[in-house]
Amino acid sequence: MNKTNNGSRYGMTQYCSPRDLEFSGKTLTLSGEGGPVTLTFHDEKFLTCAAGGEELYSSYEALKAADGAHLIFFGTKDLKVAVIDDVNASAALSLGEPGSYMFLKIEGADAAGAETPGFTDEMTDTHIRWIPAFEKYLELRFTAPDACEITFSPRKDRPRAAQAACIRIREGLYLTEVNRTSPMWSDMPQGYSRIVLLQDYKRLLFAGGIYSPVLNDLKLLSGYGADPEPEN
Amino acid sequence: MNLTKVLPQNLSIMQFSQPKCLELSGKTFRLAMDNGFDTELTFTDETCARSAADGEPFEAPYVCVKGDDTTYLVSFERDITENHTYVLDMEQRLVTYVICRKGVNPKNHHQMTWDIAFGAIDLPGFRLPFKRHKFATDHMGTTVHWIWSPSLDTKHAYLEPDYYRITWDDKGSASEEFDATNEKLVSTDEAARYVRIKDDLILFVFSEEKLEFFLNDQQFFRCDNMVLMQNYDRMYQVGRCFGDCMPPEGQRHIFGTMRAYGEPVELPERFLAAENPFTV
Repeated sequence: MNKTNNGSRYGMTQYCSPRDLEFSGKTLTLSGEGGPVTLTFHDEKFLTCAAGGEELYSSYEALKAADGAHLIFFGTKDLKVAVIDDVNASAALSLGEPGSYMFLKIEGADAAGAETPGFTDEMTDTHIRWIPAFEKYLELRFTAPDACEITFSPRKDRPRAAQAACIRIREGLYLTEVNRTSPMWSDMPQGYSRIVLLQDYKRLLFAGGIYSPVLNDLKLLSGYGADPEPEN
Repeated sequence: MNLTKVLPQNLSIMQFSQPKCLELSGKTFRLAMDNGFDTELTFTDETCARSAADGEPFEAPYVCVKGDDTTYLVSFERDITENHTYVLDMEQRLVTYVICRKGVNPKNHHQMTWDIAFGAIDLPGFRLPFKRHKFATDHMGTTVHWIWSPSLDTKHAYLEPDYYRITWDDKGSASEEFDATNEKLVSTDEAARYVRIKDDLILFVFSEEKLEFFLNDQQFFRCDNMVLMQNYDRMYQVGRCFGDCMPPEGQRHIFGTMRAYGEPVELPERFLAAENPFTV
């Protein structure tokens, strides 16, 4: 029996990695401008986020994008995003408007590096195709520090300009958030307009999520990258 | 700056490796093995300590990857001639163990022996599961295109329960690196075994022993052993390689993890129907 499949069951989420369960039972205290923020991971499914005198108890999903680099999604009425970098004991956190992030340090953590994440112009001119499923892709061409052109397979004929938040987490590792709907008849499910990708350009791997504000629903993605302009 | 042009490393088959999983750190597992050699594994972030009745206790750095949310493949070496790999299946509390040894063949010290054993994870207060992982045959006939890196991809056919067959396209680094040696062989069949972990999750174990037997020092890799968990639900495989290679500067040990993304593929009938020349 041939056990292969073409991903029709999972669509864009076909290649998604196993979930990252490393934080289960741990508490992270994040400090810096906009902090402090405390993330308490009760188990493999639920956390409490304490920030600005308020506590939010919610389910969470996490993926590991690179060694020591975790992408965490949570929230009840909308999507919150956290990137935790063990290498630098740092965090990028989006608790408010899509695309707005604060950059914090993890208190009490041993770290090999001291880099703090931040918005960057290093991604400008980058052109990458991220492949989360068989014959399905998101293609990004970064045109400015805060803008990109995004193509949703198979609609090569309908690239779309979009605002993009581009954040350097550490060397080779970048977070991008794009808020843009996909055209009809694309592989991306319709209305999943908040696209968050943590990208490892050294290994050409990514982990991410797509979120529908209307449905309040998140789908996890991960996969590999390809150069859309190969030299050979 | 186009990061896609500037930053990618060229790590060949290890390019798409899954990030190291540290979820087992701080945990100890008692493994009740059907061969009678019960084992205890204790993990930190960096090391795995192994104690068992079938050898002296030791502690070594380990690699860990996940085949699905609750199935872990951990691997570590007693030394560069002995590798221990475990599939820890937390959902069913089962374990499959692969031990590989080099240097035991008196005619060729690169040739490797490998054995597979089954058991269960012994949790205090719970009865031991009586089911076991088992050797698999139900995926015979599977053909799959594995993408290991932007430049390396191979095509596998699983046609017999104790062999696998490999091919690749005329373009790409597999062709560049392996065509010259491969064309000296009578076939690309290699000894392999398959273990069913659960629905759509198969452990694939093989060594390049035919390559070594026929080509020995005419080739770059020397009887490498691979242990891969193949997830046919998600269409990827993750695992580890163990062996030696022979760059111009001298023999080098290989131990690391890799991952490949899978695609359905149709292979020519003349490839699939060709006789396996290594069996009676």
